[in-house]
Amino acid sequence: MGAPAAPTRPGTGGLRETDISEAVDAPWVTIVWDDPVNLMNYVTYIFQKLFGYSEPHATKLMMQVHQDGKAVVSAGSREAMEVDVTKLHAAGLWATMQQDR
Amino acid sequence: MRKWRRVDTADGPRFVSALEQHEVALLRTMATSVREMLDGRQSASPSDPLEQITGIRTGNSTAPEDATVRRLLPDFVRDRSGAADDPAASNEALRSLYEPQIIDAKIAAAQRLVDTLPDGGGRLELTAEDAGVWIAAVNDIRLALGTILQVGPDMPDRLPPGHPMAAHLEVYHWLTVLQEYLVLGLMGKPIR
Repeated sequence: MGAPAAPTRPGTGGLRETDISEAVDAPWVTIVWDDPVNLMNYVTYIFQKLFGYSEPHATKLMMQVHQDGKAVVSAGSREAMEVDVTKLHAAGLWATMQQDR
Repeated sequence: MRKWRRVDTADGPRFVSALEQHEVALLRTMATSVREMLDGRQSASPSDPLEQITGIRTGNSTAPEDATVRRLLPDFVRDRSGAADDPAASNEALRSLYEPQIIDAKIAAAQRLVDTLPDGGGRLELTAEDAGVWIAAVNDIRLALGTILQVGPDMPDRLPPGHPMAAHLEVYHWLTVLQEYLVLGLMGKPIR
């Protein structure tokens, strides 16, 4: 499981780029787990909306969740991952955080 | 289930559909049930003398015992091996810190869904913001229903007539279609 790719859509990537550089010092990741209730399009849409990911990138992560059972959807400081997991739970996705070691 | 139409206006897109009277009643009942489950969870959180002074809320530190509520409020850390050594990153600490705001968001979404329902049925027109709230609220209802119905990857489209869960499964599939149409509309994709 690698770090998430940088977003491809210009103008929305500032926050994520910061997260990725922080990840070097504080390797925490947010993982989304597969769930038979959540719809594929809904999961893609939530990744786009919460993280500002492009549709192709969000779709790729959704397919990874669907096929592999889980995907790393963001990386950064522990505090940033706490915020990401909170937002994903509010949206009804099954997310957890862990140290990437 | 009638289809949704996306109508682009000067003030942004609108999502237009119509609901039968019984569909409005069903959505109201289910959204209210989810809200009440979460209200019950919230009111079971510890009341702390410090909280009364500082206004900083402390949520429950343990996972809900009820499987349905637990599905709406999952753990932050999956297992001990992934957990940090720092106790501040434990499930207990993270849950008590963040659960109140997750519950707030879900209750607000369920309430907004109820508030935007056309009384007695009829035309329904949602702003993009409300449509975004609706898909989250409908997702919570589907999670709750899906937990009770034990929805798995190979869920049948329908159960044999007379099966005690047959009607519930139909409602579940109806909600699935409703949510899918709204998500497609929000994504700007053709609603099939």
